[in-house]
Amino acid sequence: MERSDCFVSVIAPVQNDARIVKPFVEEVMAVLRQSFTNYELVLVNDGSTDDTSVVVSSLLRDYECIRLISLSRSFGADVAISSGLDSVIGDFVVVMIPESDPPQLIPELIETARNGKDIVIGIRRDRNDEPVWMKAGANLFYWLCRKLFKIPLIQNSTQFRVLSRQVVNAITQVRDKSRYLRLLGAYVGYSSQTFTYDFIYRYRHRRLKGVVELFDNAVQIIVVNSVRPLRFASYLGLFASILNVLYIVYIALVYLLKERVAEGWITV
Amino acid sequence: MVCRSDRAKIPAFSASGDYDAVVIGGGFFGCKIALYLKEHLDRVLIVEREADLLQRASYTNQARVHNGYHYPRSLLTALRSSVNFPRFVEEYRDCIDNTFDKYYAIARVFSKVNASQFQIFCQRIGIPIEPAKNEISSLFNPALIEAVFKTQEYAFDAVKLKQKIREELEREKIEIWLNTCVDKVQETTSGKIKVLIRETESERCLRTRYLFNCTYSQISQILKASDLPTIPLKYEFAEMALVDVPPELKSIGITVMCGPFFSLMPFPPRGLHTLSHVRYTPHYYWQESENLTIKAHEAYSQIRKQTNFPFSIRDTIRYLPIAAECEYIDSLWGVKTVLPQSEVDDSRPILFKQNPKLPNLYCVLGGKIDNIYDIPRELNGLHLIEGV
Ligand SMILES: Cc1cc2nc3c(=O)[nH]c(=O)nc-3n(C[C@H](O)[C@H](O)[C@H](O)COP(=O)(O)OP(=O)(O)OC[C@H]3O[C@@H](n4cnc5c(N)ncnc54)[C@H](O)[C@@H]3O)c2cc1C
Repeated sequence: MERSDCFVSVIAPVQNDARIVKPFVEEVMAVLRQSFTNYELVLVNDGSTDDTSVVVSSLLRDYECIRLISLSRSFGADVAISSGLDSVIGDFVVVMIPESDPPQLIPELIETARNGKDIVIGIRRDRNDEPVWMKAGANLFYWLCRKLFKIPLIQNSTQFRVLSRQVVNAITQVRDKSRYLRLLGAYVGYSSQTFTYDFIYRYRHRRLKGVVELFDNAVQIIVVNSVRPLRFASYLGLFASILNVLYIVYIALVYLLKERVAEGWITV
Repeated sequence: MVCRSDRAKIPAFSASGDYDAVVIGGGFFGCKIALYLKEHLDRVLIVEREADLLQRASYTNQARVHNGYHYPRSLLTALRSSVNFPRFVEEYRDCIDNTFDKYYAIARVFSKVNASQFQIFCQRIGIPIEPAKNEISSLFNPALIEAVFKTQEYAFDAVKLKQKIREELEREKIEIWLNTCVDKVQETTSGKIKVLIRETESERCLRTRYLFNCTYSQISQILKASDLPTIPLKYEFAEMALVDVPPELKSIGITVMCGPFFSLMPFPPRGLHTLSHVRYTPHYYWQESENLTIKAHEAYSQIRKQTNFPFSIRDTIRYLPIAAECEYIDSLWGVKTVLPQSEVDDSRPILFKQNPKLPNLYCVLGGKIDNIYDIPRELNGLHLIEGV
């Protein structure tokens, strides 16, 4: 196959992935070498506490064009990816999660991007590997986002995506602390396309996020990306104030109209 | 071993093949050292492997006459550079390009200094710094660059430097053998040092009282071949891309501080700019240890020289969008040799080392061109004696 003449950067956040990072890197590098004239792989260590950084350091010696960015502690995949975006130099940037996203799709996705789509977004085919409560939670979350908070989140979209240089430049201009990249992509307003794919499983048992973390994540997405929660709070406050006023009126009436009011009842 | 010192190449006035001092390596340091030695000694010879002087590190470098800006994290080095700068500029006035404006830009992310720290640092050591005019700072991407400063830093022209030094050498009647590669050196019973020269089918030798190994990336190689104690050095196989810049950048130089960033410096001998990048200029690193030396020269000629320009230019464009109009011409390649930290204290930023087994052999390595001003003090301490 002819290698296509463009520069592709791959960003992958890693966290406690010592066991899978080597096969992941091997596969990605094989695909990149075969398909593109220029490429780089940027691994972002999101505060791993296992030997991820040791394994990666030895990979740095074995492969050309790999870089490692180490975050001082764990900040979550979104921050890890955005610090990768601050550093990559490619014409097209692939974001992927080592545990679940198949490197073999990269050339096809880049082709789509080169044909004029600035954002190519991955969607997982199903959530069959997740327990029922998690699926239900996810459905509820997407429903809330859509209906209540009007957040343009694509159902079951993942981090796996391709961004053009223009989009990366636009995203890196946004200096927002809490960056939820799956949305930033949608906000910067470029042409996009989705693709559906099946997760691969590098771990025999998929590592699921905890309930607390997921809930936290969901709340953050909603609060940061929608003014509606703030509105609801305002309405709630207004409603409470009105109730209060009514109550005051009621007390005043009691005082004026009733004859025998218990001592001190009004002033309490 | 037959010494054939009567070969035609050896000029008549040293037909004996005996010298007071031989300098191996005709780079900037070797030549200047030969000139200093000539003040005390009669017969001084430079042996150079290439067909001309100043062909290696003294030519393939960023041409920056350091004035301190580069070292915000080492006040002493910065101060020392700022002291040497006016001396160098004065002494080599004809070889200096000061017709361009030099800008230092401070990156927002991944930088080890911020704009106000950099400014305070410059003010503290007393080197000129002022905010760049809008027409310059607007060339940069404000999302990635915090501030741009106009500074005072010049470039040297290695070809003019070579011409000037050659005239000085001629004036002082210092002998130069070009196309001559030193293989190894040996101690002789008379206390002199025998220098063996490699030729295609034979070997040649000469004798000297003092020997200076000024071969930069080859210092260890010669010591190793001579079975002498070596100095573990660090090496970087470096590439600097030569580019033709768009008109807006023609008369300026740019360095982005302080981390994995780039520098776009005028390269006077070619009328082009060099693009170097902290991440992409070094293609390989290696480090010697006591019992491991690497043949830097052989490594140099064997390594595949595939340019990193596609990488360095893409990163550059992120910070300086107009760099997209740079045209790649070719690349300068060289082995940068870095002093082992153990040999350097900040008061002596050069390697100047007497060989423990062969006391009249000295190895000299300067990390940057203006370190030449640290050499005379070392030489004066030697109490050189003349005579055969
Ligand atoms: C990529 C790069 C960028 C740099 N940028 C700057 C900068 O911007 N500013 C700055 O001040 N400094 C810079 N430097 C450092 C500067 O170039 C050196 O400090 C300086 O050139 C060293 O001079 P030299 O004479 O010791 O080395 P060289 O000029 O390399 O001289 C050594 C000579 O020895 C000869 N030789 C080697 N082996 C033998 C042998 N066996 N027999 C005979 N001859 C031999 C070589 O051919 C060579 O001519 C840079 C260096 C590099 C590599």
